[in-house]
Amino acid sequence: MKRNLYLLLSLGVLASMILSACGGAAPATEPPDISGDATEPAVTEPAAPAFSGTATITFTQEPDNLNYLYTEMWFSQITRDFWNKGLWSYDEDNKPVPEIAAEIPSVENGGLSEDGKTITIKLRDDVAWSDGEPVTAEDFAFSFEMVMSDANVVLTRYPFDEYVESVTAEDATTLIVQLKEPFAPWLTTIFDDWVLPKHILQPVFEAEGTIDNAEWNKAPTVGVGPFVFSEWESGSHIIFKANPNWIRPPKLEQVFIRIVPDDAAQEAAIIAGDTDIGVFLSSDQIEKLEAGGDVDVVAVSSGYSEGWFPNVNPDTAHPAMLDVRVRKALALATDRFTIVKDLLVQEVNPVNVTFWDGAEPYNNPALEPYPYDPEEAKRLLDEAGWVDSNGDGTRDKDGVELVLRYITNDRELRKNVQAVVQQQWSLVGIGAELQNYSSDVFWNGYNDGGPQSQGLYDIAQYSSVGFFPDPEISYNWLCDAISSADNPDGGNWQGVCIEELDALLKEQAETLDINKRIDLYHQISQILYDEVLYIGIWLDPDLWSINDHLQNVKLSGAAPFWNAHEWEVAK
Amino acid sequence: MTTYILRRLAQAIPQLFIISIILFTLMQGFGDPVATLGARTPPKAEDKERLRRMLGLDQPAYVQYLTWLVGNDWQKIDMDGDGIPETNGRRKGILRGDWSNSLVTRRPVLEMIGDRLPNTLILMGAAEIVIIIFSLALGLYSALRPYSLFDNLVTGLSFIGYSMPVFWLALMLMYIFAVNFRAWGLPYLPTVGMFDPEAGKTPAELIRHMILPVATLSIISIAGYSRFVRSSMLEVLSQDYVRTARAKGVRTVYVVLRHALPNAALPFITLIGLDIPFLLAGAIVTERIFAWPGMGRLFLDHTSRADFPVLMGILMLVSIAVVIFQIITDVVYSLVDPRIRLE
Amino acid sequence: MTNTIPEEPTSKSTLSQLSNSEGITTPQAQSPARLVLRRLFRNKLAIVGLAIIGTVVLTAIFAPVLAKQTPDKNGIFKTYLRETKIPPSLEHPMGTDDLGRDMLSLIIYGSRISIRIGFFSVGLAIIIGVILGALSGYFGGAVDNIIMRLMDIMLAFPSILLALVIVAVIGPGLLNAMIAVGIVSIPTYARITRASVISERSREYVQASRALGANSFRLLMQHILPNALSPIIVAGSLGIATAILDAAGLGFLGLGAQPPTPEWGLLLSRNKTHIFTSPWMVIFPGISIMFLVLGFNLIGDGLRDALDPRLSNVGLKAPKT
Repeated sequence: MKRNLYLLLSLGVLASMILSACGGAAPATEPPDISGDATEPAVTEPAAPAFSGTATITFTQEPDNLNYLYTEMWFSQITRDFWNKGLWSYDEDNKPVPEIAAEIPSVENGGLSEDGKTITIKLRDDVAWSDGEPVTAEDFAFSFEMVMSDANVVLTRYPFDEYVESVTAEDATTLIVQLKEPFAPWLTTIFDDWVLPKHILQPVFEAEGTIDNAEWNKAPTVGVGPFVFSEWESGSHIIFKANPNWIRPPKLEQVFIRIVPDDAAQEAAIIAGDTDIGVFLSSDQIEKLEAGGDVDVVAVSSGYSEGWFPNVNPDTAHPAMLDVRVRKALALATDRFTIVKDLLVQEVNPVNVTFWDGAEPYNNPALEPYPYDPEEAKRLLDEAGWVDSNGDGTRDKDGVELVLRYITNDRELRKNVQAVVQQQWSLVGIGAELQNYSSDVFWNGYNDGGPQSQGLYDIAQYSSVGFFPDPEISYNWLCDAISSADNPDGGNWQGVCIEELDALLKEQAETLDINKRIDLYHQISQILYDEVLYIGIWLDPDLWSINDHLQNVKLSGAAPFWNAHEWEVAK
Repeated sequence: MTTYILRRLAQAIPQLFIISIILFTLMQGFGDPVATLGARTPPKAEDKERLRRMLGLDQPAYVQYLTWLVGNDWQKIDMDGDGIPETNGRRKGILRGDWSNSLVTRRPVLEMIGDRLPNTLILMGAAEIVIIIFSLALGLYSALRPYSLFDNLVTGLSFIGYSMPVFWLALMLMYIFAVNFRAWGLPYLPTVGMFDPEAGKTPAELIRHMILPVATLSIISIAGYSRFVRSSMLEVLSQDYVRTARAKGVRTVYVVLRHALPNAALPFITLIGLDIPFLLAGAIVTERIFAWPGMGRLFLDHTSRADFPVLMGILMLVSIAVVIFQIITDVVYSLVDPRIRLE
Repeated sequence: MTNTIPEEPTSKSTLSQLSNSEGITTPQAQSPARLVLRRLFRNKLAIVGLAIIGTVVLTAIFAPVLAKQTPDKNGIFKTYLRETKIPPSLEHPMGTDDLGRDMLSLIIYGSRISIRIGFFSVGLAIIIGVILGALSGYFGGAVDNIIMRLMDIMLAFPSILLALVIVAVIGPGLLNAMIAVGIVSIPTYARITRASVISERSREYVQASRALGANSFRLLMQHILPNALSPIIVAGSLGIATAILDAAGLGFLGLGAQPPTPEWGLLLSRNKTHIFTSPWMVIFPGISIMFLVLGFNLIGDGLRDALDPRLSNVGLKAPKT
């Protein structure tokens, strides 16, 4: 078998030599194809557009599975911009851009019903899978069926299980999504970045009873996007090749994703020019990476911002935490401006105000970060009755010392911040008990002993986000979501319950009009700000490096590689 | 001989059983496979509960072990969560050749190991060969000129190499030869991976990419091994028959190669033989830094997500290899040294 | 019996050593310990090793005096955010790190941790290993079988892999890493002890005292175990070197000591992304580890030569990680 291949190859080489020796109109010499593709016959397609160049990207984690149903990993999700487009994606300003959909549904174009419960999506009729089969509404209906099937061990069914009644194909290009109730984040959660090929997976489902083990999950050779899967060598790399069938054909020949688990090694690869794009860099690497002049480090928000979530649950929190003056004093006593200046890069990670500062346009530009004002903090604490009556350096009241449990996960940067904050708090007489949990424990649910869900803290620090670019995160602050032994799945770990806030949160979740929703979010952030229920520390954008070998890269926070078809390598 | 091998194999079976039970018990402490699912935001509690049920993680440990061992394809399991088992189990169990599927990638474990094993063997095999050649050469030379300048230099350097933290060595090599050499305009080596995508998967690329990881692995190991060769050689050289031969005026090189080396080589062969199965497990730190897609990284990556089918697969593979190579080493030993008889 | 390697007649340097050692011509009775020490001090490398360990131990003891910056009662170093990443200078001989902490001070205090790691994990391994090995060798039969099979199982895995498994079970952290590294090396000591016990058990004096009804346990403690001492000391001192490296390796993988502990392996791994901007943050912790490990390796090697040259292969396997 192998010998035959070599024979074929050498015959080919011989033939091409003779051709070029004849000096005839020999086709432009192909790039030497030595990348192990010897199994494919080296046939030239004269009609194919000329693709050229390779984009090399380093991932610090390897995707676990490429099928949307079986992965929650961000590193898997972002590959779908190359090979598995959905109805729409998001441009560098996080505005939706139609892909398979002909247009973004809205009330005006009849795509959204008045009651907000029916979404009618018109699909383009010229989109085909990479094998030539047309992409139809049937593919989406099948995808829904696969998410909901008990035969498939999918990772999450959200939001299909809670909000979607049915997904039906009215005809080949008309898709109807029937919701159980109006669901504001539909644009970022329902088929925005995936669809399954029915003609490939339906036979597998029928034969095996499940698509859990489908070959397609690890080798999706049939896809829909500017590139198409070519090979995945476990632990080493994933290659996507240009897909001439896509509606917006790419310029590059291939995208090469290399798995580099060690961050120092990734940095070396970026500096050495062995990679064009790297991600999850830390801000103190910027200077060195850009020093050579070939690399640009860009900050792209994917909605995350680092913040403090104060526990105000009367059952579990320190009594002082229930007083808004104390919470305000905590914010005023912490010099967050110096922290971001010294531990991060101020321009990249400014102090944020609201939870949505990284998710424009839902941020509230009218609000200013709480200033650093230790004197005012002392005054507020005095006013609230927390004074150092026993002279031990820490304030107290009714025999209770003002020592707060300040917890976070074990990320090094957070530990450093904890240490600095502890020093700053001590200046105004607040004690801090620092605790760190490993990430899997830190965010555990009530029944799994999660320290946040069980309220074993006063201040919790982490970086969080809604359904970016959608702002939805109501379960953090809804009264009926307060976690407890009776409600272990509750997502409101802080025990916040404010009637007005509750009503606003519920209203926005059903508001499909974007301007109205923005206004509601401004009101929501005003309440959180006045009540000091969220204290922003810094904006936490993702840092990407781009080598100028690769051009036209416009990264987006929601769909980083959305314009991969425009990428090209410098000549 | 055959009966000996058969008996040893028969003894190995209960041993492997016990190993598998101990390991499986340890795996229970690894954490929750559905705790993070690798996502940036924590998964929802309902999804975690459903996944535990569907993947059989809600079963008692001994049931999970038995499923791993002999499968569950004669049983019905509850997939829809109504408390009534309705779906046929699909697992066959390791005894029937089903090494189970990864909880993370959903792929068959054996297939995943099969993807990584060749890469690890290339890297570790090359390193082992370099180590053997250099440690034999250095050790022999040092033994012939003990306490000479060369010996002292080799001894000193080998001690330093042996004392370096491997990840530090790896990073320094990369820093110097891959990054700074390039910046200085010198011939440089690549940083990570097995080949350059523009150049393709050629043997030349592979070798270029192997130099730094192999050097890392070798520098720390040559030290110990060459000391080993040196001391075995010194011991043999000090024995009467060697002294006699030398006193009779036989050329030193001849004495060494013809008489001393074969005798000194025996313990070295044992050392190498017992090393081979460990090569399967790969080099966790070196593979991680140089982004080498081998077994060590497979193990490490799947530890963080408590993917016990994969971890069990790797550990059992290593155990089986160790058992087999123990037997092979004993047999080879008996062939080389006629004084040893296997019964 | 006394075919010690250094006494090779062809070697000139050995001759000079012979003339240096006056003990050769006066074969008076010497205590074994003295003999060992004498042999040890003849080994230049071992003396270097001793000097290195001595330096590090003194540094650890006098850390508060030597270090410019000292940690608070919780072991946390104050951060100086205005003085981050200063290159080595007279004021900061090893520079400062990204939090403005003086690297030299961190390394001085880190020496305490590294020494503790070495002695704790090897101590743990020796205690458990000797007990298991003694039981195994003394009682034989089923006890022996069970214990030694268990040890075989542990030996079946590369040590770092086994340590990873143990840490995954008991959780990351400095103490747990030390325990894991200790557990992994138990089989070495169990095997050594068992071998010594078995060889002594068949000796006439043991048989005789047993026949006379001597207490088995006392017998074991008084007569048999001391014979296992020298190989254990040799394996132990080399084992400390390996333990420090293994613990640093776990620290590198994020499973060992946790910040803000100034453990050397951890300093290395947390600073590794600064290697291009501030190489001193990476180079000095690395050199420190190498220095201390080298010390234990040299002394272990010297002790082996001095105590028993036949043990030439104990502990010489570098973990291929």
